[in-house]
Parts: sequence; C-alpha cells; structure tokens
Amino acid sequence: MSILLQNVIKRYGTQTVVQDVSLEIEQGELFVLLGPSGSGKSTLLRIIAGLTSLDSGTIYLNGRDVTNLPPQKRGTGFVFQNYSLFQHMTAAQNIAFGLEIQRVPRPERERRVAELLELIGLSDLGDRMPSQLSGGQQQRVAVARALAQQPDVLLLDEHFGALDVKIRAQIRQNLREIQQRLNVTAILVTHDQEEAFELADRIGVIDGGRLLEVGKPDKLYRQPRERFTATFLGSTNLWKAERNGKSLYIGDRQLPAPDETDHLSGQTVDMMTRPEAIDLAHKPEDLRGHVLGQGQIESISFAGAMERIVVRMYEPEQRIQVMMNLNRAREVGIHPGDEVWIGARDYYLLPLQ
Amino acid sequence: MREKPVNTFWAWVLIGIVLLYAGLLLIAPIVAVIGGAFEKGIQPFIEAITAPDALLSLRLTFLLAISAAVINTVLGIIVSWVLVRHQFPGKWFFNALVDLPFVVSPVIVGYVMIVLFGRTGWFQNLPIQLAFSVPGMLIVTVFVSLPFVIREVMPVLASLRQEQEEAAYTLGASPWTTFSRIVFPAIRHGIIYGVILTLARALGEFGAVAVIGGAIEGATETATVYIYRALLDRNNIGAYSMAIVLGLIAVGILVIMNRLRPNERGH
Repeated sequence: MSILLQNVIKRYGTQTVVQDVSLEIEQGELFVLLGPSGSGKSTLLRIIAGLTSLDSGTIYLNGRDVTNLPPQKRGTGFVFQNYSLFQHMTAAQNIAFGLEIQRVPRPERERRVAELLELIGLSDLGDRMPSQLSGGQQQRVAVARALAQQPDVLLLDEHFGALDVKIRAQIRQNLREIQQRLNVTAILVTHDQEEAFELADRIGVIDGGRLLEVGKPDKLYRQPRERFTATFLGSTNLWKAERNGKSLYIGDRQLPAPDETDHLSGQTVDMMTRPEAIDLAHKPEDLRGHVLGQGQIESISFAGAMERIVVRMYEPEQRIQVMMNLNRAREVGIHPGDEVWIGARDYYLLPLQ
Repeated sequence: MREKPVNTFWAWVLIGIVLLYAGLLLIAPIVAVIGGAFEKGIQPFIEAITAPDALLSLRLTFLLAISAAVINTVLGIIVSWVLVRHQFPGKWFFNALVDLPFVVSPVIVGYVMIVLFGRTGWFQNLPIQLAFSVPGMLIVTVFVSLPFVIREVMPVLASLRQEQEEAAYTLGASPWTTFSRIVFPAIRHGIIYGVILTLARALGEFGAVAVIGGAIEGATETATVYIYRALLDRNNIGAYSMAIVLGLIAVGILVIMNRLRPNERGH
C-alpha cells in the first residue's frame, strides 16, 4: 500500500470540507481525485502533503504514519496549480533546489538535473528563467522539480487548467509516460472528467467533502453506484423503473435487470443510459438493444464523429439525449420529425434520490 | 496612428505654468545653492565642509541615518510579514498606525519626546538619557523614517504567492531556508527601495532631531541642523556647501541603489 488514508476529517469553522475519507492507493498507481470546484479535492491533496492540517484521521505513506509530520518530512512531490516555480531561479536551479536542500554533492546533483531535464524533454532550456518558458514547459519543470528527490508519492493539483486543449493532451501523455517509467505512485486532482478518464488507473469521485465512489474509469462511467457520479461523469438519461427479481419494469415494459444491482431489489429506481448507449430505428426489430418505447426526433446536430440527437419520447413523456455514430445514423436514415423506436444497448440502475 | 496634436494657445499656457513651477521650485534653488557655495571659488567651499564642526555634524547624520535604516529594515520586514500574513485583533488599527509618521509634524515628535523623557518628563529616571542626546535623536529618526520599508515591502509580500513557500517546504526546506532563499529574493526589490527612501528621509530630517537633540554644537548637531545654524550665523558659504554635500550624498545613494537592482521597475 503506497498511500493509505483512514477517516480523514477536516473542518474550517463549522464547515466540514473533508468528511471521513478513507482510501487506499497501490504502489505505482495513478489515482485521479475527480470533483467539482469546492468539493474538497485540493484540500485532501494538501492534507496528504502536510500543507494543510487535519482534524482527525491517519495518513500512511509507504506504511509510515506521517499524520503528524511536517511537509518537509513526508517525502511527497507536489505540483501546484500554478506550478509555483521559483521566479528568480532558472529551470535547472528550480529542479536542483530540493537536491541542494538534501545536500546532494554537486556532481551528483548536476547529473540528476540533467537526467530530469532530459526526462521532460527540455535538455536545452535548463538555463531559462520561468518567465521565458511557455505554460506547458513550466508545468514540466514543476513536475521535474517535484520528482528530483525521488519522492514516494507525486501529488498534482489541478494543474492543466491554464493550458490550451492541444498542449494539455501532450502534457497528459508526457505525464503518464513519466509516471509509468518511474513507477511512482501519483494522485492527480481535477474537475475535468475527460482528463480523469484518459489518465486514471482508478478514479475517486468527490463531492461536498465526501469520497462518494472509487473505481476504474469505465466502471464508474457505465455502472456508477451514486447519482452524482452518473451525472458528473457525463450526460445521462434517466427513467423511473421498478426492480423486481431478475427483471426491471419501465411502466409495463420488461427488461432484464443488470448484474450487480441486487442491492436495489424490490425498489423503485432510476434506470440510467448514456447517450451513446441508445439506439434508434424505424422498426423495433432493427433496434440494437432492448426496446424502451417510441418517440419523435426533435433535432439532430453534428458533433464530430457522432450525431447529437434529441428525441421526445411518448411514454413516459420525456426528452432523451442520443449520441449515434455517423455510420449507424446513415444506415438507419433518420431525419428531424421522424417517428422512431428507442432502444438501450447498455443501462444501469441508480437508487432514487 | 494618431495625428500629432497641435498645441493650442491654452496648451502653451499650461506648459508654461508647468515649466515655471518646476523652474521656480526645483531648478532655481539648486542653481542658487551651487552659486552660493562657490561664490568665492572652490577653496572656501573645501574649507567650509572640512571645518571640524561640519565634519562632526556629517558624521552624526550618517550615524543616525544608517542606524535608522538598519533598524527600520529589520523591524520593517518583520512588521510587513506580520501585517500581511497574520491575523490578530486590532490589525487594521495597527496598519493605519504605521502611517502616523507621514502625517505627524517632526517638530511635534521631538517635542513629545522631550515631554516623555526630558528633565521634568514622565520617564526621567531611565538608565540612558534620551532628551538632548544621540540615543533620543536616533529614536526620532527611526520614528520619522519608519513607514518606508513597511509600505514598500507589504505590497510585494502580499502579491507573493504562498505556494512558492509551500513548494519549498515539500522539497524539504526549513522555514528559515525558505525565507532566505525564496521569500527574500522575491521581496528584495521592495526592501532596497524602502531602504533608499528611509536613508533619504533620515538624512534630511531636521525638526525632530533639532528639538530632541537641542542642537548642541559638536554634540547633537546634525548636518541639517548645522545648515540652519550656519544660515543664522550668516555663514552662507558654510550652509550652501553642506547643502551640496547632502544633495550629492542623496544622489549617490540613488545611483548606488539603482545599480543594486538591475532590470527592475519600469521595464
């Protein structure tokens, strides 16, 4: 176990910003803490680094209880939201700072800095000042600085925010490679679910200071246990349904109940289906997936590789978001105003709020 | 590209007012002082500034100004730190209090010191004599030049992101190392500028040191007090010469400090 949190609680005055969080993270894992702003995710990260005190709970890093240790003695590398490079030092001096503090002899220090500069692909920019580097380069220097002392744990606070989309993708790729090559355990904090999906071995969804759910990205996306997870990870369609035995009833229509939802047996639930798991067809027998009902197409808009379609369902009456890939949409031949059958290839159940 | 504005009659009137104002208030006195000092050639000037009482007064001025600068720099950094980083009851009041030396007349400061520490003052049994003595003069000099370092350092400190310090902590740096290697370099321009202003203010102080020091020739007479006495004695060359020396020192400080802070302010 590389990181272990037990019942961590943090209060500011009467407000509890981290509510009883327990979490285990394996050696070499890249764990993403995903949540909206103000959810307590950055606070939790700062607590692990020792930059923010906690009110109760225990933190172990590599089996060592660090709960009462100052940040200097925790062995974590921290990458701040705005990189926080030392403005009066060059990139190389920034990276060397931690090694100097540890009194690593100069030749060894210089060798390590050169290695790190190469690792982040900035070998020839070591003598630049931070103000002479682009946002993406600064971010990489910040990562190298955090890695210089070979920390047990790398903590990254929402630090892609200031970069444009294309650079972000490159940086993510770069970060993932470095993290895997060094096999360092990392926690990354973000509010961007796309980023979380791309990077994470596992995701922890956090809201209102509570760690709601932890799991692999596809599992959380397709089969969330919490309503918040379902809505935060992407748009979703919900139908009121009854789960009974091995079946699910939407009105009088019967579908097989999804696996692993026995805990909801005998309850009124919400059935959720992601927009891309919905299929449309002119005849029910052409549908891929389980028939849900009929409706009329309200609008179709182009969204890259997909068509974004809004359908007004008749029974129960509600609007449905559909993402259909272009080939399938062409094959079915749909137009605004068409009456269509609606089917679900994949669906899951959520407890009622 | 904008058209070059053509100066109208009224624009020329305004420009005239500005030139007259600057000329009368800034240029004319400088010309007059230089003219006065060298009225009878360079020899009387040199004699005037090497007179024993002139040298003594200059020495005292330096002693007071440098001591005040050192004290106000060290304490000023601490005060700035506390006012920016810490919360305590009455902080706003204390913050406002820092500006007191800007608004209180130095003569009043000197007078209050005498009321407190003079022969019939409230605290007359202190181990060191403060009224009519150098320690008393140092206290008033420190007082009148107190706000400069604080007011220069506080905004720089406030704009400094605390995350830089936290980054240093996670890299293993102690609070002191973090201050000396991360915070200090970031605020040093503010400190240098504060020191310039402190020195300039302390060098030029007259009222407060004259009142608390009692203007005792050869003992508590600073350069500015010397100038005043020289004028009263109709020793115009002495007064003007000392004025030039003080002026050159001020310019010298500005030049040196500018060298010490390269590529900063206005680039």
